[in-house]
Amino acid sequence: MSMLHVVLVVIAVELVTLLGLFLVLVTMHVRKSGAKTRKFRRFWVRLLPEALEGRREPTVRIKESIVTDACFTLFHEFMDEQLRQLGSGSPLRLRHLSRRLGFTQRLQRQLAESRDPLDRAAAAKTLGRLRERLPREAVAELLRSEDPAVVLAAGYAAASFRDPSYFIPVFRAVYQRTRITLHGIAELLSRFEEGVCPVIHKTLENLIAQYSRKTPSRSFNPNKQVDRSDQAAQVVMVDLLAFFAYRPAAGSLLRLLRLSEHEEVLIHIVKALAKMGDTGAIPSLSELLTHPNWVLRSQAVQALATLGAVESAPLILARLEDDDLRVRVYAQKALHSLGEVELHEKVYA
Amino acid sequence: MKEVLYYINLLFFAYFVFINGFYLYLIVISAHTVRRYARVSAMTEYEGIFGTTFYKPVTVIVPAHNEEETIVHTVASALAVRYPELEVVAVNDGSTDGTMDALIRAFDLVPAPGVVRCDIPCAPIRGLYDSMTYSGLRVVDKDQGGKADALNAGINVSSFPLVCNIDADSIIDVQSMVQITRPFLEDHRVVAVGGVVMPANDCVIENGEVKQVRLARSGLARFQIVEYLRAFLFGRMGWSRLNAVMIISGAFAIFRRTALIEVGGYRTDTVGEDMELILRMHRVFYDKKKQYRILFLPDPICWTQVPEDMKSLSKQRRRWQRGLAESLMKNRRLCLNRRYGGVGLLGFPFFVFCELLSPAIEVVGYFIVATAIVAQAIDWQLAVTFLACAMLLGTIMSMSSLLLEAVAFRKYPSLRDTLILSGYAFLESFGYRQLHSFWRCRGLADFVTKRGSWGQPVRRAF
Repeated sequence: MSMLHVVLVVIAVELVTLLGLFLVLVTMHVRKSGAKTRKFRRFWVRLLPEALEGRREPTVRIKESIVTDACFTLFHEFMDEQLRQLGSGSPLRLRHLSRRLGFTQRLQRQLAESRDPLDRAAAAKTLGRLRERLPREAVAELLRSEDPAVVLAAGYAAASFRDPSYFIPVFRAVYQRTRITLHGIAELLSRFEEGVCPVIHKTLENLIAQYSRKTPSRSFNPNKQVDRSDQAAQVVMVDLLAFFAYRPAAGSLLRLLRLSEHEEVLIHIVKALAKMGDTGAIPSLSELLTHPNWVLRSQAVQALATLGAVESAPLILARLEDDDLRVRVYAQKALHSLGEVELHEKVYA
Repeated sequence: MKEVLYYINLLFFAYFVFINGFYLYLIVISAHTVRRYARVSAMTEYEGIFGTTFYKPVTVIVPAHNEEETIVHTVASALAVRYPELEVVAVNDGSTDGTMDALIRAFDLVPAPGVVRCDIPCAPIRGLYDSMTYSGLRVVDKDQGGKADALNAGINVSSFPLVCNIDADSIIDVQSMVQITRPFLEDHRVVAVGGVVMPANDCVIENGEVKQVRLARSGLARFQIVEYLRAFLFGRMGWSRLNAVMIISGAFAIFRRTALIEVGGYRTDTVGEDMELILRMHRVFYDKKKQYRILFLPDPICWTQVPEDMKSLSKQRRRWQRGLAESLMKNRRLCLNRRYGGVGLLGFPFFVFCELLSPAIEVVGYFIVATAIVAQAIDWQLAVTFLACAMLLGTIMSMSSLLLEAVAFRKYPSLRDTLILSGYAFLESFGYRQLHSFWRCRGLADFVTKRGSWGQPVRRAF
C-alpha cells in the first residue's frame, strides 16, 4: 500500500468524521430548539398555571409521557427552570403537581438506581428544591463521593430540603471532601434557613464546653481528617449565626469571645455580635479596644458604633491616638456615627 | 538533493502528525470537560448568592486609551452586570481624544478626594473621579503608560478582593459575573479564571447589554467567530483540564487581587501582558510551592468588537504573535523544567513548537513542498492529497468547536447561523488560514527585529 493510498484512506476517515460531526450538530439543534421541544415548552407554559391552581388535571397520557426518557429530560429542565425562578419561595404547588405527574417518583428512582453519580446528584438537587424528603442513605452516599461536584450538589440538595438534621453531615462532607472556601460553605449552609440555628448553637456550646474542660470532646470536629483548621469551622458557624441574627446565641458567642485564642474567630464574633444588636456585648467589646491586633481593635470600634455604645465613647476617643492609621480612621467614623456633638468637637480639635 | 528534500518533507510530515495528534487529543478532553461542566453548571444555583452576604465583591477594571467611541457603552455594560456587590474602575490612560470628556458627561463625574495605595508601581495618577449618579463607579485619570500600566493603576485603586479586567471595547454578558466568580467560592486554591470572548459585531446592544446575539454580516468577522470558538473551547478548555492554562484573555479575566499583587501585577514592557502574567503566576507560585489553580470556564462570556478590515486584523494578529513570543521569552525558565509540572513539561514546549513556530513552519512548509514537487522529490498527487487531508483536519477541529459551543452555551441558537458558521469553518482553510499564518510570521519578524507597537484599532460605536 503506497503512501498515497494511506493519505486517501485518512481523507476518507476525515470526511466520514466531518459528516458525523455535522449531523450531530444539526441533530442537537433540532433536538434542543426544534419543533418538538418548542411544542413541549409551549404546552407546559400554557398548562402550568392551570395545573398548579388545580383548574386542570393533567391527563393520563401526559402523565405517561412525563416518565418516558425524552420527555423526562425536557420536563426536568423545565421544572428546574421554574424552581430557579421561584427562588426561596414555597414550592408546595410544584411539589404536588410533580407527585401527581409521577415526576417525583421518577426522580426518586433515578436517585436510587442511576449508576452515574452526577445523574443521582441532579435528581437529589431537584427533589431538594421541591422539598421532598431525601432518602438519608442516598444522600449520605453522595456526600461520600470522591467527586467534589457531586458532594456539593448533594449538599445543596440537602440544604434546599431544609431539614436541620442534615446540617452536620453536609457541613462535614463539604468541609472535608471539597476545596470550598469558607464563604462558599457559609453560602451553601445558609440555604438551610434559620431553622438550623439551634443546631449551630448547640455545636458551639459543645465547643465551649470542650474549651472549658480542655479535654477532647465527642462533639463535631470537622478537622478530624483534613488539613483545615478547626477555627475555620468556628468562623463559618459564627458567620451563619450572624447572617440569621440569631440572638439566643449571643451569650454563647460572648463566652467563646473570652475563651478562644484564635484572632480570626474573635473578629467574626465581634462582627456577629454587632449584627445581632446585643447591647449586652458592649463591655466585652470595649475590652477589645486595647487588643494587640489592629483588625480586632478596628472591628471592636465599628461594632460599638453599630450598637450605639455612647458609654464607650471615651474609650473610642482614646483610639484617635492609636498607633495604627486604620484604627484611627475607624474611630473617627465611629464617633461621627455615635452623633454626640461634643464628640464631634473633640474629633475636629 | 532529491533525497534531502524527501527527508525534509518527512520531517514536516512528522511535525504535522504530532501537532494535529495533540490537537485531536485536546478536542477529546475538551469535549469531555465541556459536557461535564454543562451538567454540573445545570445543577448550580448561581442566583443563590443574591440572597446572602457570602460572596466575594468584585472590582471591574476598564483600561481605556483613546476609546471615545466605545468607553461609555463599556462602562455602562460593566455597571449593568448582575452581581450583588460590584465596583467599576475606568482608567483613562492619557487619552488624547475625548475619552475623559465622554466619561465626565455620561456619568456626571466629580473630582474625588482620596489616597491611592501603591501596591504595584504605575505612571502618575492625575486625579480620581466619582460619579454623582452611579455609586459604584470610580474613574482614574492618569499619564499614559500603556494598557498594562493602566491595569496596574486600576488594581491599586480597586477595593475588592476579586479584580476583573475587561477591554474598553468589550461587554460582559449580564449573567457571566456570577458564573465566573463561582470557582473562587468553590475552590480556595483558585487565583485566576478566564471566560470566553466572542465577537459582538452586529449583535443588538441596548443600555450596555447584548439583547440579541446575531451573526456578524462581515465575512472576516465570521471567520473570527469560528476561530475564537476553536481557540477558547477546545484550546483553553483542554489546557484547563490538564491544569496548564497558559493564557487567559485580557479581554475577560478575573483574578484574586492578592495574587496579582504577589506576582507584581502586569509587566509594562510587553504587548502580550495577559499571557505573560499567567506564565509568571505559574512560575512564582510553583517557586513558592503554593497551591494554586488557574481555570478556564466555557460559559461566562464577554462580547468584543473584532476587526472587520484586513489592515486592523493584520495588525492585531501581528501584535498577538509578538506578545506570545515576548511572553514565552520572558518566562523561558519554565521550558522543559520538571519543577514546573505540566506547564513546564507540556504546556510551554507545546506553545513554543506549535503556537509560536507553527506559522513559520507552515509557510516554509508550503515553499519546501512546492520545491520538492518541482524537483520531483515527491509525487505531486501525494502532495495535493496530503494538503486536502490537512485542510479537512482543520475543518474537523473547527466543526468540533461549533459542536462544543452548542453543548456549552448555545449563543447561536438558530440552525441557519450554525449552518453558515459550518460553511465558514470549511472555507477558512482556503485562504484565511494561510493569510493568518503570514500575519503571524510578520509578528515573529517584528519580535526578532523589535519593531511594532500597540497601534490604534479602528473602533465603531456599539
